[in-house]
Amino acid sequence: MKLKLGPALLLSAACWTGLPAAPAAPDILNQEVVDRAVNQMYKSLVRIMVVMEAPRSGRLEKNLGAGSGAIISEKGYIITNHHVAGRGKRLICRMWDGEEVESRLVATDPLTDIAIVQLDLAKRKDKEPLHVAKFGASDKLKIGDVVLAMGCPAAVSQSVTKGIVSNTQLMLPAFLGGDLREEGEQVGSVVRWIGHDAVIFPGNSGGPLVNLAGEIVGVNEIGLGSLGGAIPSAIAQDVAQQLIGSGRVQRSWTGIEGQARPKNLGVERGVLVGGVLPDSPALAAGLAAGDVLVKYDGVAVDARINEDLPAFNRLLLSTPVGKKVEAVALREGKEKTFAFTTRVRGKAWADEVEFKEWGMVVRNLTLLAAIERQRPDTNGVLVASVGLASAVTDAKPAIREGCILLEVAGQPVRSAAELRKVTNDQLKGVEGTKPVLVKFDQGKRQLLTVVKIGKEQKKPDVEPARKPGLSTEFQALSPDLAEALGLKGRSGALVTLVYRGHNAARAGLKQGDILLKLDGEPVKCERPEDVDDLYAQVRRYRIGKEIPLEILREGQAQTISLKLEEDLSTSEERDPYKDDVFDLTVEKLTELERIMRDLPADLKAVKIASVETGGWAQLASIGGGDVLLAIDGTTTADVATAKKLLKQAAANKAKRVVFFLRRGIHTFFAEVEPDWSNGNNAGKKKAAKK
Amino acid sequence: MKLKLLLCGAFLSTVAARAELPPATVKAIHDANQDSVLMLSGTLKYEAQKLRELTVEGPATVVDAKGLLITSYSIVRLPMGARKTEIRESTLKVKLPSGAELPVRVVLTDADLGAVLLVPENPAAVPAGAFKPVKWDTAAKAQPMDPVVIVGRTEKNYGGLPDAAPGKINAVDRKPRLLYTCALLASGDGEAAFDKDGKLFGIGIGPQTIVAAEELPDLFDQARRAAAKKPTADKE
Repeated sequence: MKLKLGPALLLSAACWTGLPAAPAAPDILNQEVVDRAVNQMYKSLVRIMVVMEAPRSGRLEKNLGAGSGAIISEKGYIITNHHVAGRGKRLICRMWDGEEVESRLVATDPLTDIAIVQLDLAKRKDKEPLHVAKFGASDKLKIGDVVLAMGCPAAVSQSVTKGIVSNTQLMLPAFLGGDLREEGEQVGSVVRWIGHDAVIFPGNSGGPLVNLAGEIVGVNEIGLGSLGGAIPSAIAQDVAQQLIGSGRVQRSWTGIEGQARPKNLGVERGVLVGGVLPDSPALAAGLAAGDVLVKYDGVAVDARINEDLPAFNRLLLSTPVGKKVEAVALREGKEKTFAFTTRVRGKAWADEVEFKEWGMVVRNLTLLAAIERQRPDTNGVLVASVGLASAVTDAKPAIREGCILLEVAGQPVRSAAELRKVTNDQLKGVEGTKPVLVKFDQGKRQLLTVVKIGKEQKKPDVEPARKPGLSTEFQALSPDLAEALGLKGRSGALVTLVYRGHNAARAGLKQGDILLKLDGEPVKCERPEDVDDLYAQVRRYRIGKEIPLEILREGQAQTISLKLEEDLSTSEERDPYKDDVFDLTVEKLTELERIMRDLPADLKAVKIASVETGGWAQLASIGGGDVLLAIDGTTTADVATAKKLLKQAAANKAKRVVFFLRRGIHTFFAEVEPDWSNGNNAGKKKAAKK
Repeated sequence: MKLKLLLCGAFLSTVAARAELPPATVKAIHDANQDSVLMLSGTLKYEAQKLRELTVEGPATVVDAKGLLITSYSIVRLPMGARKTEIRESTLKVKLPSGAELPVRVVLTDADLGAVLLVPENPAAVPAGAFKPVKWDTAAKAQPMDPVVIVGRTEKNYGGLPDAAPGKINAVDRKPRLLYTCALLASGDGEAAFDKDGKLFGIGIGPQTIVAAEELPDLFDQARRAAAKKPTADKE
């Protein structure tokens, strides 16, 4: 399971708190048997670290996740979950011996939540043959059989837990949602999981469930209370073979939506046709809601309860595309035969494509998506995500998630590829933004709007006025505190910090002093918020004005004179620089930060203001707030130097860039390894073709 | 602080004798300064989690011949504090005495004074003599009950015409800044306040509050420095 909160983890969390733990399996095993099974599988196990992209606020945002997998081929193919690797843009597999190997996503199948990843064997240091796991027969499992869950819970190294098969045909109960979805696909419509009580945890996802012969009998996917749920190897192996062989799982579509027979139906067999989708082969053949399907393509079908439906759905989906089939259904008590030819099903959702110039992420319309939205065809571009402060949300009327773009600047946009082309054409030679007319559908309404697409020219910011400060921090002198200090009835503000090297320090103000009067006015700070009023009072003076401070020190009142200087919080420009290659922002290390962190005033360094989630900097364990001392041995004395060094490294496509950093009192080196293979990285995604 | 002053002002206004300015004096001050208080109007879009649009409409006083303007936070309600505000789009304009409109931009905000400073968007496009600043020969410190003339503009619905309103200084606050309160019917926000001799008392920057002219030069210097800065980076 991913470390990020995915559906599976959420489900786990919901149930782990709600259901009692199952009793442990009796330990009746010969340790040798377990050892043999573990040894058989252990060296095939991998931990997969994934940088994935998911739409959020109009961008494809990177996230870092982790899951498990097992090597199933000498060519380095690894089986895992779609929700672990299916959105992966960068994958690193950690082998059993600790070696980390760059990998790639081969293909993925959201409907069964299975994905195939391949190790880049050329980059493998260890040239020993891979340990290839074997599949076992999941349909031979019985309740009570001992199984081992193997994987990397919480992204720790390869681990093993032991349990028994609790359920060979587990389904998600309806009260828990009952329909785990991945990319619009209802995984539970085709999968019935192997339930087991071998402990799994987020990070186990994609890892094998292993029988005592050391074979894969399932692929762990979900947690349900104290039960784990694994996709049976009978499904997983078949899907894996198709994904490796052709890069996809070919499925048929008929338009039939089956459901279990209601109790009052009065028939003893068959699958109730709950509905037949528009434009489908089954509808064209005359099949209708209320018919009871008893035979499909020569196979008797039955769904007495919901648990029977996945097998029925698999039967429909696995029929060869383009095959002429006969469906026999009961209508008004009589059998009737319907003949039709199946169509290719395709995916529920197409891949997302980011359009930074618009501030949105879009998808092509698939057959299923078009039917779901009652559209006549798949023409148009579906808006999947919009930015809060983006060109599309700023348009009037705004373009929102779920809208379908039809035309841009008078050109039809039938797909994301066409939208990319018209966007590029419109922005050719344009500096800044360009307004374009957009026709789009919002539900049943067709609207027109103007969107200012392109790269917004940065405008000068509105600055806050610079203000004076006391170069001192205070806490409220509450009545309780005053009494405890022997100052009952007195009011003031307690000095908690005097900034080194500033006027207050020069004037002799000290930590522990109590400020009684400011410029002759009594200071009354009884509550924490009163301290803000004190600061505000000081800000109303002019910088440079000299004011008297009456203080109490060791019981003695005294007056010091303080020349107000510029408040450090407004006096320094941070000059941030955001680097889109290394996914970090550096800014000036301000004097206030140096004071608060006790860093030398002359330390030559800049601050890492932030790192992007899942970006290369974060992958190298660099964090926001770190102090950047050097890049590849050159001191980053200021933002300009840091920017120059980062750009230089990007131009050289350096395989590794070494950052020297400071965090607290500790210094450390971090190796950043950007992936240059796809032209790195930001804003260079190709639009998907239909 | 302001509340205290207002109460004090209200008390004083009820008991003190009223020294009315002759209409001719008010008219003379109006005529001399009517082109120094101009109307701002337009919209500002800024990002604060999402894009927010602000409608601006109200007077601003001309500080210098290059077109530095000062108005009140109640006219330009941008978020104020220690952070910079990123303006994404602006249609903000000032209407010149000639009737022409000139794009302007906000450069500086002062959260503590409630003042907002603006400059022409494109200084090179400012026609010569377009801006007639108020004379910065400041008046002597006002005393309570001193007469005052506020030169401003009528609301846009009433044509945004120059107007003048005589009144009284109700209270004087000397610390930390020199502020006057003046209970006029109009708020006086962004408008210029003069003494009986036509010398500048200060600028209206809050509800019936005038910040003394002598308090402002530093703010103007900051605004000029901010105006000279260039954007630091392109935004995608």
